Amino acid sequence: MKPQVVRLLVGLYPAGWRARYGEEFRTLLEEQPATLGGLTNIIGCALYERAGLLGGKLVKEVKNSLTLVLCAGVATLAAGANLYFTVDDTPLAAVVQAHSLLAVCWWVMAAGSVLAAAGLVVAVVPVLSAIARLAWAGRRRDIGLRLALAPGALMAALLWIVVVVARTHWAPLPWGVTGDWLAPANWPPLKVRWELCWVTLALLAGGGIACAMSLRQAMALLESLPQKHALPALKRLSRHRMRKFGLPICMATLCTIAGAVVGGVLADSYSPGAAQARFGFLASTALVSWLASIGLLVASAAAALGSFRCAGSSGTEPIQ
Amino acid sequence: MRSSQKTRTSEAERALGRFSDPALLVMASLADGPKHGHAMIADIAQMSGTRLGPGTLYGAIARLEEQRLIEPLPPKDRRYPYRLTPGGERVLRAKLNTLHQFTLAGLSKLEAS
Repeated sequence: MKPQVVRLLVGLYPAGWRARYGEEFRTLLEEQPATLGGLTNIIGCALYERAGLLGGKLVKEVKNSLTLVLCAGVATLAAGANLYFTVDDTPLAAVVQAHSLLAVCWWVMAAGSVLAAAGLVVAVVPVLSAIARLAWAGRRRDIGLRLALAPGALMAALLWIVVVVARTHWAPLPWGVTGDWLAPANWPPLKVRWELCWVTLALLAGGGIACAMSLRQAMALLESLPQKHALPALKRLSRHRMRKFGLPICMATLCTIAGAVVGGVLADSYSPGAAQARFGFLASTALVSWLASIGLLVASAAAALGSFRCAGSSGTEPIQ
Repeated sequence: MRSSQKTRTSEAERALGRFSDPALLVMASLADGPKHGHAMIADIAQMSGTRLGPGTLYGAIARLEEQRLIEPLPPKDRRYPYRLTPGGERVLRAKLNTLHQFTLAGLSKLEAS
């Protein structure tokens, strides 16, 4: 076959496949006569590979379960932070201290959150470090950079908050812009506080989206690694971790939800004034902020359950 | 022991998907030593009368390599040879034994009729 035709035909295959077999497939095709049957065969097989029936399927399962469990982690973190800042240093904190039943709910929430977060770390870190090791062994800086984006985005957001605190004596967080309290005189004006707060939210949201995209790209790039035989091992590790920890994470989150629901009802009945005071996220009432946290926790539990089901729904283990 | 070997063989077949038969031909071609793609096509044509298309051949090679039943060797003159792994040899032997028993059973039925 002519080199131009060969280049065109090889180009029909997915990038990952080309990176591994492109060179040798090109050599083989150059030695083959250009027949209609041969061309049909190559185009048909290229479409088959494009359908993701090779390494793509392996990586897709890891990608989906890992993305879901990371979404669960982010939702738990956001819900926990929201609950903490909604109660900390507000009239609700005094209500929690004054009523032992409410205090028990608070500790149930805290214990559930810590357990869920610990489960997420134990489930995710080995999988991420296996991906990083694969990238390192394959000398793939593109994968490494995508993996490094998540801690980089977090550091950028933290740095922004530290710089604003150092310059204005005020933390640009969405719980401290305004509400039913008086702002100290040395804080920036309300308009500036809103602007700085939106920058923080944009950094967190943009960083989160960029991290999710880059992580999925990093896993898609794994298909083009020369150590393709390592992918089934990565899939097994991911399945094992998500199967083992998916349900406990979900249970711990459900425990947090139960604590938050009962605690919310009790707080509203013990002190309706404190529950309706605007101490919550973006100057919302404490009750609305509390309900938003419950919504996030429900989403987190659903994502953890989805990750567990995703890891358990795949077919047979590839043989070694 | 035998049932676990059977399970492993059937798992390998499932993973090979539509390339299951070409994969067996590729493994049989590599049974007497390493070969590159062009030599495999010629050998398979001579051995079975089936001429594999290049796409089918590399579809089978990719899956066999993924299953660690074959492994690549360093390239020679832009040609990339492959050889059977010990696991591949075991799977090939088990599959050929099954086919052999199937052939004997089918022939004996024909002779009995």
